[in-house]
Amino acid sequence: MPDLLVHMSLAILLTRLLGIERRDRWVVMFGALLPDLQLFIAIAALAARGAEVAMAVSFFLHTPVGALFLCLVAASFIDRDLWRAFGLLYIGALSNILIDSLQYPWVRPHHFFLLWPFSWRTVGIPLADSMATIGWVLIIAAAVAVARDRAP
Amino acid sequence: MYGVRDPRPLPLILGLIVILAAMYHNALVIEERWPQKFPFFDAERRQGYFFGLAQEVVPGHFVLFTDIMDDRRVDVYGNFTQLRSDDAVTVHGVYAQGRIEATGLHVLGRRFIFMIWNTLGVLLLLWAWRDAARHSIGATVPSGLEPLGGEDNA
Repeated sequence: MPDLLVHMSLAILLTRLLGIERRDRWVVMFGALLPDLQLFIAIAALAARGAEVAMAVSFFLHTPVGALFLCLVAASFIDRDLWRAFGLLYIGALSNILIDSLQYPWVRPHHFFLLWPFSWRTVGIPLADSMATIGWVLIIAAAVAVARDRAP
Repeated sequence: MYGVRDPRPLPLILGLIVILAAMYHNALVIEERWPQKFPFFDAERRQGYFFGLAQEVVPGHFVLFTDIMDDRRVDVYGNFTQLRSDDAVTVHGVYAQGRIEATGLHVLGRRFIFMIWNTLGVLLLLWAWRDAARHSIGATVPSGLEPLGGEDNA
């Protein structure tokens, strides 16, 4: 944890808390997926530069500043007002980065260059011991929220 | 496709340029700051020093994946002919030191479970997308049927 199921669950809860329209909720969820796309870029970079560089060159997509540009690219494909789509995507992306930061310093260090490009210092909130519990709480809460929406 | 459009060229190009420039810049910085060749493993002493960023198969190297699943256990999987239980490992960057608790199918099984959660996450996103499309279409369809051609045809 957190895996994509947890990230999507957190995004679902955020859409409810922020009162985001039903037709826009999937955009926030898509945003929550975006920072993890760095893995695919890393695989592509692997052949060219080697394993240790491959992950590192793409880590910045998992930072608040890097996610800005990733969300800008993604928003250009969304059939909404550009800045509205960008904002919704960025809410999701930030939720991904912030909940991953709770695992500091026990997972891949490139998740935690939160101050990039201003600093290469790793930053996070060390709650790794509780992550499995937090993940399940989010999943169950999201399931309850979805069930309430669909209740007659 | 619902909610998707042809890309707007300006944000697309601007975003891609910045991302590619940042990747190039980072590659230079990383090679300068961490010039060592990771990972390496001393098979004779059964000790290894791994870079926490190495994640994929590199021919001739160890295949590694470092991550936390739960309880602060770091998964290292890969060349099982050389990594064995109780080998000493240091994962650079994660600042974790310890011994390999399990190798082989046990670790792969954990990764498989992790993949299932990820797949469920993607399915949840697709469900939300479909839900939005149905809701959007439902909101635009008129409540009553009208004759084709409107009043002229009535």
